[in-house]
Amino acid sequence: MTESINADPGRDPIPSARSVDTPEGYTETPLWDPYEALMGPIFDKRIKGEDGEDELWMAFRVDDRHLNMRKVVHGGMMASFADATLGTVAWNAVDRAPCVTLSMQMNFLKGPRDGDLVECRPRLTRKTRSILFVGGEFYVGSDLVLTATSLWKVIGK
Amino acid sequence: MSDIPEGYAPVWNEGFNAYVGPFYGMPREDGSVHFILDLREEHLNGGEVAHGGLMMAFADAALGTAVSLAVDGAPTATMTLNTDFVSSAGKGTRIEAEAEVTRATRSVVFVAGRVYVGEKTLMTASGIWKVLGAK
Repeated sequence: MTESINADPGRDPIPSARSVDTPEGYTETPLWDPYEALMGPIFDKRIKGEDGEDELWMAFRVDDRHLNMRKVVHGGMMASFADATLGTVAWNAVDRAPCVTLSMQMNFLKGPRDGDLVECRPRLTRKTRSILFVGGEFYVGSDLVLTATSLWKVIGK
Repeated sequence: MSDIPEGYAPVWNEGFNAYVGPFYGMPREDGSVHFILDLREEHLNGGEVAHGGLMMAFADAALGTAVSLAVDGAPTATMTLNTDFVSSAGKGTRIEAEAEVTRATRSVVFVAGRVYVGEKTLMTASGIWKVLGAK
């Protein structure tokens, strides 16, 4: 098991609102935003992909807090997880300088259900001095459930 | 939340909406909707302003409610949602959202809206919803 991409030995993370079993191969992601702890836990892992490239994966396990009235994951929850995962990539790409979301575009292909493990493969597409382009695909098993693209601003740059 | 204006009610207050909100909403006579949410500590990011995910969730709830009214409550689902983050707001702020349907066809609904505080726009949002079961 690898160390979380969000690890920071210098401070204590905000405890997640619920305790959830860590999926195999993942480690629990330390969370620094109260809102993410409300939704959390979130998990991440860094693996070598088939092409030998380093891949980051992040995941959350769906429970009753995340569902809408049709008993699938609320669009707002998928957006929240996308903001957390794509933001993690942006933040770590600029040595954890403060970043804010400028825009996010999402296509919802399928609604995950209670108990599903939603996994995200976020990628940094381009990085300028002040702007980051980050995209991601989200899966339940091999089913694509969400695609997202986003722009991030590095504060003060 | 305290001090909820007359006519507002918690919208779809189960699961996620109940856990994160409640989001209070009211339909307007012209078919648009107006939502309010008082920002709490748990809505914030590490920069102590509303988390981007919370802002998108609030926008999704408002846009989705306008869609639902336009199709007389038929079940719908978000297909695409586009959001621009114009400005931010901190704890204790009452943020508002309004949303209006641009076009409703039998199977898809186009909707747009914004999140704001007074004169200040925080987010603009647009999306397309699917009317479930309609071809």
